[in-house]
Amino acid sequence: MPRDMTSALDVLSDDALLVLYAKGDAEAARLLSGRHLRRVFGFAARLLGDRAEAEDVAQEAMLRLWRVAPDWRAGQAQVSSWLYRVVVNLCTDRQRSARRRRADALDEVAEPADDRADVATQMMVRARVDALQAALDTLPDRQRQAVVLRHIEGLTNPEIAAVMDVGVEAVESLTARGKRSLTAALQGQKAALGYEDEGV
Amino acid sequence: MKMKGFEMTDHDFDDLFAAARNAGPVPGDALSARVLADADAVMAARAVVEPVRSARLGLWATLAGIFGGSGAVAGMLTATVAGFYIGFAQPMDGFAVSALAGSAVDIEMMPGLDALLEDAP
Repeated sequence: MPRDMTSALDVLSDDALLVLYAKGDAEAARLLSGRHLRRVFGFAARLLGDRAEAEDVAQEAMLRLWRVAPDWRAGQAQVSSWLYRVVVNLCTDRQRSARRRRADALDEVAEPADDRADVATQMMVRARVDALQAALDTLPDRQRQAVVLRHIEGLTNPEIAAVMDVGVEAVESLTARGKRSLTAALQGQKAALGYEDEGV
Repeated sequence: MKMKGFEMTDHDFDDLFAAARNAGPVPGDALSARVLADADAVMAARAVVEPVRSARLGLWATLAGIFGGSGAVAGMLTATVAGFYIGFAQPMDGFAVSALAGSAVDIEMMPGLDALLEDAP
């Protein structure tokens, strides 16, 4: 497809792109993948703590999107929320069948290059992200899902409730308990992660 | 026992979550290629199935158009089946019109007609 046509499609909503894809427009799939794959993969990686498994889940979630395209009803749900929900279900299935084995797979995660940041800063950021992931890994599955959706993916509580198929109060409870668990898991690492002690 | 000075604050967590957000895992080119290959495969499979389905629908739609709608087609089919059944079904055993002979019954079709004719001049 010509480049100008691609940019024209880029302004379309996800719903419209799904309709185009269902009618045989491959470029629409490319745009949808560009909009959602990174988020889907990142969310799966944080829930699973394993890059290879996260790739499988992300691919499966996107495959389900391609399959549902002809039956997609515009306005029924946001594609992003729908994908979050699929990822939650896929990850839950995987976590039920095999308790996680977190290796250092996320060490291979590529980071956006930033020439301005010096090596020490990059190492500190990496240490913080790794520490957070390790702490997230200690949470029960549902708490981890709620915390990641709320604090990293930036969803509202009602949105999380829809994704996790629970009430808003349950979401509030899960995120609060998750935050307390994270605090406990990171206890004593504050200075190591470069955060200054307060009142000491 | 809480050690306040060593405990992460809300501000610390905000910073930590932001760092995680900015350093989010990036899907590799291989995954992107697999996802797009899936999209192409699903689209191709749909392109194969759709003509077959539409051809079937076309035949049905043609029949419905000829007979005045799908309800009419269903009615025609029902009548056809019923016609075959009536045509091939055996009559009941022992039933014959001749069995009615000898058991004639007088039926007065126009009661009082005889009296009327007798009274006529």
